[in-house]
Amino acid sequence: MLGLQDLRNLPNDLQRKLRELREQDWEQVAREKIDERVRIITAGMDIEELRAVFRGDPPTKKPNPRFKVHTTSFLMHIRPRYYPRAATWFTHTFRLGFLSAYMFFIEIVTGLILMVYYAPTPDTAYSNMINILSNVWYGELLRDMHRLGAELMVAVVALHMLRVYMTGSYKKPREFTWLTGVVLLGITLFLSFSGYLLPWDQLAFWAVTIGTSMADKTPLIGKEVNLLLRGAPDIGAGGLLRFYLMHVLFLPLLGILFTSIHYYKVSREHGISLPARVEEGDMDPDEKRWATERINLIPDLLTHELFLSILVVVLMMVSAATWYSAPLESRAQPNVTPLDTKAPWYFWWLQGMLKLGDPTWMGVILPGLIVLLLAAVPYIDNNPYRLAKRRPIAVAQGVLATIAILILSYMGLPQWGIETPPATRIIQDIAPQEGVGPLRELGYAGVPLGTFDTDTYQLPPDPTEFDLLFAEFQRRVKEAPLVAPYGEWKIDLWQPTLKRVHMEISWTKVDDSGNIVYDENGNPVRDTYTKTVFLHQNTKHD
Amino acid sequence: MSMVRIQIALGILLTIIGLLVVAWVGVNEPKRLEESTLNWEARRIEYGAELFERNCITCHGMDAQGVPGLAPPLNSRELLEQRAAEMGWPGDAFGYIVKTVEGGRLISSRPDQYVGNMPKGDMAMPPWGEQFGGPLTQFDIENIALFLLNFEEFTPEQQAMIEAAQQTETGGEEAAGGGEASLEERAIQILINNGCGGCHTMQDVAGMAGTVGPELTNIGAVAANRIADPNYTGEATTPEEYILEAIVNPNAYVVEGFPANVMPQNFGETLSEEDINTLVEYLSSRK
Repeated sequence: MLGLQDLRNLPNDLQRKLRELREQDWEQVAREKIDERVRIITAGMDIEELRAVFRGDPPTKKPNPRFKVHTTSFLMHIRPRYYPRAATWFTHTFRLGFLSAYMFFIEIVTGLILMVYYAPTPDTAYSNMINILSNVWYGELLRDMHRLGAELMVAVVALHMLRVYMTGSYKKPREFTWLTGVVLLGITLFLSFSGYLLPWDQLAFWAVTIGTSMADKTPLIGKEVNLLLRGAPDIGAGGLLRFYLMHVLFLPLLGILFTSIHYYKVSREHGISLPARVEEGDMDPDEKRWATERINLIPDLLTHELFLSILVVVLMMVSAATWYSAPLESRAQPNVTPLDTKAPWYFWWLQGMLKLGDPTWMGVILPGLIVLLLAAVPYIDNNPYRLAKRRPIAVAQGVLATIAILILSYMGLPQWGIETPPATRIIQDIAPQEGVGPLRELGYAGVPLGTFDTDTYQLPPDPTEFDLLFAEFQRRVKEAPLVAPYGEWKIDLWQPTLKRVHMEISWTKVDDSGNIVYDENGNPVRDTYTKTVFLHQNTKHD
Repeated sequence: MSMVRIQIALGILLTIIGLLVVAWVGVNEPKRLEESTLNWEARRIEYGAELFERNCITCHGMDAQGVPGLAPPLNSRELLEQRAAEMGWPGDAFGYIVKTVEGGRLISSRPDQYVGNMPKGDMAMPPWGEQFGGPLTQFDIENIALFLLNFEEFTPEQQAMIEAAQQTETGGEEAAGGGEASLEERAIQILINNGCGGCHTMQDVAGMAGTVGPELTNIGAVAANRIADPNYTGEATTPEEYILEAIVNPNAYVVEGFPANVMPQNFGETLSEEDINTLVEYLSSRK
């Protein structure tokens, strides 16, 4: 008979027995172990739930285990559990905010790898670029992607702002979110611009020289601001180090801080704004109910974000591997000002404004006021409505401002409003100081030896690429607004692998009133413009 | 709901495509790196040639062929390597060139052949490196060295090509009427080709900016004064004779303030009679 003690022990024995039995059921054990791991990895969802997610089934239990992730995981706790359906419509946000943050992430990852191969001194910076391009596996791909990402980030951030303005999403209670957004736009522009100097090529050096020379025009403290940025009256070792530290440390930290504030406001405080027609339009109640239904982040929006991330990074990779190539001009030469100096495209509007008047007004005070005005938009605009038809003036202002920026950008191009002497222009178009141009495109193998002049040259019946190029040169020299123009190319083989192309355009000198200038012997004075281009057998332009 | 599954499927597909792109780029990397290395060396040679043209031709000649009496030829890799060895340089010719360009030459190592700027009381060759007050960076100087070491022998086919091009050039000019190249143009070509600009200045002629020898801007007028000078030691009686004498026998009279034995003594042999006549005619016309 069983004693009392045995009775007491029975449940424990049974439990032990059951445990032993269960431990022999390997399938069960494996399932439990896997389940435990899955819970750890997914921060709360078991394998059953994960399967349901992938199948697109509703949650398996109540309360929704997918929400648990938002409490367990640090990264997911920042994200909201759900959005109203209308806020996730593609045509409402175009995913521009998400893409801005994603570009920042890509820049950080590619930038960190590039930092390994870079030292910020004038002696090493440019050689480091050559090393990255010709000695580092995936070096060119990474550099191209970093550069492409920078351009895209500026574009996406600017478009994001335009979208928020156009949909009136900056209005109460989101004024402060807009303000942090304006700061983030500034950080993005300065991040991109500070990275511009680091390759230490002509493009970098002169774009930044022009950019910082605008700081020089700041009223009262211009000299000090300029000195603070450049570290010396001219950009040199000090300036490069300052820009480097700004680019890799100061601005990214500031960017992370402001992105955090900006995103906290969006995700935790106010959410993404609803489209104006859902919020204040006269929508059918059923339709409105549908439009404001909750869409859970897990799994619907998370899969969408992952899909977008992969799509964008693959597109960027394919672009970088095929058509896109980050420019690298010749090494910075402080005493050689390039002919067609160009700011980065996102500052063309500023270059355009500078052509309109006094640099202090057009380059510092007016842009400063524009930034202030931009930051103050939600505080100035007291119209509570968001629908375009209820704020026609604000929408018109947005459209006009966009058009104005585009026109100013066009005016900022070096081709606009800057006269280059005709001979210089012709030769610059054929063999630009920087970049490729048609002559270098022909290269060593494409040019014959000999002397060619515009007076006697005749296009042969079956012209080569070179013949066509020289014929074009001949036409342009003859049509140039010069008196008795004459052009000549002398091509010789200087070294077994190096051809020398000496180009010359000469013309009769005229004074300001159009009269021919004569020397003391009574012969007309000839002016000449010459340039020598060297073509090496192994040079490849992509 | 189906959007989730579509996006998962497309995402997986895109991931595979992305990995394939990485693999494809990776497979091509060794070739790309090799090409890029060649390309950048080639570009540095091109840039070195540009720097050489901008800074060095006044003393070392238009084609780096050297200027007799002034500065040695540099247009042969073999020659440069040999020179580095002769000077007892322990490293390779590249280092030898870089070091020489950087710091210049305090005194000529072959004063009997090349004097450089010494007659003026300057260094034979000035320092070019920026650390010594010159205009060139380390990178620039390396480019020049790469360019100079690229002076290899022409292949026979290339030699034939060069000769063919020269023939059509002179033929072409004659066909164009011969009168195209004026006396001035021909004379300046001769002056430049023979490195006269390394030592002499003609203020209105590009490439003539040397200060080792007397200025030639108005030599036609100056020559007459020189003959009239009681200190004149030559035999010329007309400006034309004076100029001819100065070219073929420069030590007959050396202008005060300039050193003797610097101007090559053998222009009478190296220049053709036609060229000498052209020079005399042109220089005496400069008044």
